[in-house]
Amino acid sequence: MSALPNPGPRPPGELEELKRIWAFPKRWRILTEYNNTFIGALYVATAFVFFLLAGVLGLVIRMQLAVPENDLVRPELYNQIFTMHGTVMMFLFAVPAVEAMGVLMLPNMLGARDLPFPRLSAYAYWAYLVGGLVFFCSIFAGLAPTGGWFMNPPLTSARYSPGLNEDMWLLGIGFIEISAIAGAVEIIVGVLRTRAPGMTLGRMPVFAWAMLTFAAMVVFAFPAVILATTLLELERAFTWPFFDATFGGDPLLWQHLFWFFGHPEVYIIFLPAAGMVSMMVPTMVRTPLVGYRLVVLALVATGFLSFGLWVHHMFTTGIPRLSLGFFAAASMAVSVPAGIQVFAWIATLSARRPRLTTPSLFVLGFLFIFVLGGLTGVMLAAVPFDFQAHDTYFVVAHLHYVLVGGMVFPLFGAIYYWIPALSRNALSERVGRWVFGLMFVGFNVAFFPMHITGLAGMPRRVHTYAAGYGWDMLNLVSTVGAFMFAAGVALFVVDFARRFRPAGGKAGNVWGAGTLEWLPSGPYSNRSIPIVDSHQPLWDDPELARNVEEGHYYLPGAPTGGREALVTAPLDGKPQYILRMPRPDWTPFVAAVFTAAFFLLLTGKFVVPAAACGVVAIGAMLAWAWALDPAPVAPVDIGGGITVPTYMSGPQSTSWWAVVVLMMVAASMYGAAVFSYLYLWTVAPRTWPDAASLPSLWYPVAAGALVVLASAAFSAAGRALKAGRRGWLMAALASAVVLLVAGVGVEIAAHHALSPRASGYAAMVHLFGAIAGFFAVVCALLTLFCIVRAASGQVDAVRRVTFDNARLFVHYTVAQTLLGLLLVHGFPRMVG
Amino acid sequence: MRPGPFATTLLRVTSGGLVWVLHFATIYGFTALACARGAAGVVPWLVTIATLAAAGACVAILFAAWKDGRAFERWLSKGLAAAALLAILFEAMPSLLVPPCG
Repeated sequence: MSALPNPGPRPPGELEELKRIWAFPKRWRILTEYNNTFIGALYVATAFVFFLLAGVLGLVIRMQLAVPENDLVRPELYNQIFTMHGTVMMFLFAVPAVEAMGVLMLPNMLGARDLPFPRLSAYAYWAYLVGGLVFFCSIFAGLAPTGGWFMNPPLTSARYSPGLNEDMWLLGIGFIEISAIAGAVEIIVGVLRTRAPGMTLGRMPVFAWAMLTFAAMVVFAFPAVILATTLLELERAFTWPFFDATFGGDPLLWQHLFWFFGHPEVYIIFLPAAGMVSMMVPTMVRTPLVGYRLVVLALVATGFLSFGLWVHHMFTTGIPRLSLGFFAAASMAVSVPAGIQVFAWIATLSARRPRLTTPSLFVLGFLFIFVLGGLTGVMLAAVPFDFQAHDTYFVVAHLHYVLVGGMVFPLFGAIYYWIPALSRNALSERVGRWVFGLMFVGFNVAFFPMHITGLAGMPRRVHTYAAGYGWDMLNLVSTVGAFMFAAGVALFVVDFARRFRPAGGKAGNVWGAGTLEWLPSGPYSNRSIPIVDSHQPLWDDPELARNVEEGHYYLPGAPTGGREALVTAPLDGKPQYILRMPRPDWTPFVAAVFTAAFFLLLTGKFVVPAAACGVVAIGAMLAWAWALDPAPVAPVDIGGGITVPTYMSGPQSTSWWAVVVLMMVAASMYGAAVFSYLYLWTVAPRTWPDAASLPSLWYPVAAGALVVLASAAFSAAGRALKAGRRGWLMAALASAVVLLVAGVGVEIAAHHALSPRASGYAAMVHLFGAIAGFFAVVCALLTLFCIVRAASGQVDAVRRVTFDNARLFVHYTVAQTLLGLLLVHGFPRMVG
Repeated sequence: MRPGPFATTLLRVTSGGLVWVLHFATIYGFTALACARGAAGVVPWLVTIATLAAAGACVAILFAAWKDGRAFERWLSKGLAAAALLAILFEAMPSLLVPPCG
């Protein structure tokens, strides 16, 4: 055990000061609060409400299918209902729910005061709440999408789905993707930079590893679907024929992009749940997890392998046979890391007789259901079997076993498990057994028969079926099971309403767990930040909770007089600096509401109000950013003889890290665009022009030179900043904006003679122009913001985070634009 | 700019995974292209070369002398390289059994 950094008694009033600083604002100003315990709890609750709403849609589906030739639901409405059931479950429940658990639990588990960008979580949450509710309500207006949760064109193209319904999906899901990415940035930087001192990567809780992998996967998977939805919306609104085979597009491009997101998505949902299980299992038997290293390896390996599975959703689309073989093999290979985790849990559970509490029951239920789902997954990975089972109820059974077993059961277990850390009462164990029993039996009664219904040939997404195919009784049994499952969920809701009381004291560590989230805590997380030297610090040091609570560890107060977080080194967790956080204000809330409004109004083609909302959202974001990057104050003593700075710029600052993650998101989206270009060339080379009909080489040379000069101007601005020459700094920044915009303008002008509607090739060329234009506008905004900050004396050689961030992003944009020029002008010349 | 200790560690730990990504993208991409352009004959050769190169890279990571850094990160790097090696060999196997295109 380490020596205490602050062994003596603490000064009177210190704890009261800490409480005052972190107290939630009163009454309606509570909406401005960004603390992770507040936003996290609302986030989980909201995701749960969407689970209930989408669950009701599931029940309607089951009622319609209970008997053959039923006419309870019209076919058009049925299409909307199954599309919304899948979409809401995946986008509005599953991803937000696990992200919300991360926001809620991670700071406590890592011993952090809060996440590094708490207002970003608040923004992500409010955009999700407002946008999600309006999106859901589209079903009451008959405007809900009908194309299935994966929205395959040409069914969803303007020709075959002319209404607003599909636009609702394409734009309505846009904010969810933004919200998920915002959360991922937060989680990556939070896990790597705000861990308690001494918590090396090898001592990190498994849940933190799972969330880190989750967030990295979001960074690489979500951009593909953002690009896909953009392309489909461009095709629907402006007839750019990306997916139209008659013009050299290809509908399969959509499937590639969608499933490149969609398959990792399954693991994006499952890995955090597996992380929760790895936290609960050791507590069930009061033994450390068997094979911690192997479990971490399994999480990371799954993170990689899950990107090699997407074509197994496309086995029947006519892809070369050997390619199918690669994906079949990868799909089987990914079951190995899942198996490693299952065996690690079983080995841990066999250490001692587990206590059969409600969380334990849910973990056991998860093991049973998930393993069955995994086995049918290996069956479906075999191409010949998939040819038979594709688009039948066998797949419906499989995916529900994996997703409900792999995510919903662990989530219920986790809610039961962690509620005592958040509420005065634990939930009822007696009722909990009933909840589990109804859900477990109900689930299997509902979904097991679907394997047979599917093998008997019943296709998915049909609104009814004729009697006499042998499906009647199986469907009726499924419906009974679904209602049984729903009864279990309803019982949970009742018990939750009866017993969940977040105000006042907490029930505390009722299970005798060993990780930091069970330390006594308030909105500021722990009174002082402990030193961590094992996986289960609470088991290894029985005095830890008392010493933390009495302020004997690091940062027992709020030395800068405001909310603050201790930033530590990513590898060894050594304290580096104090991150000062702004007071709660309205900007994230306003920005979020207007972002959601922007996307939703755009859905209805209300372009002017949408643009107005977009402007308000950007204005609120700028106002929000204005309060960041505060003037440096004196270093502070956090105890143990350690004095740390209260301001940091350069590669050590958390905001630098956030920009780097954002650049990865952008690079991933650009990679998906490059893939799309090369893909269309592979399938439809006839629309690619010969060298003679391309724009003159002078265009890309001029555009390239201008953007490189923009980068150089930014570097010159950096030297002026160091030398303290404000006039030169502002002039150099202004010329960087002009050069960048001019360069991109030249590239767009180069293709003025080519209509984007002419062919898949032409649409791709203009897509690259549009992307370059979008990035140039973002860079211009960032740089102008920097100029205004400099003019008001808020950027100098020390206080320079605003400048550093803009510079990073501009350099990145220049590199990306050059790559685009090379592709658009070089590639056709190379192959032509 | 010299990469910091974290960037170096991140690259080392994920190197096995990155080799896997490159290998998978290569065999998938070239098979798709070769089949689209009627060049089925080159596919087995390409898959073999890419697989040998990737397997070699994984073996190199497994035996790389990496003295600095913590035992956990070293172990994770090698574990991921081993997992990647198995996945690479397993995923390339269909090319021994299945005709490339059609």
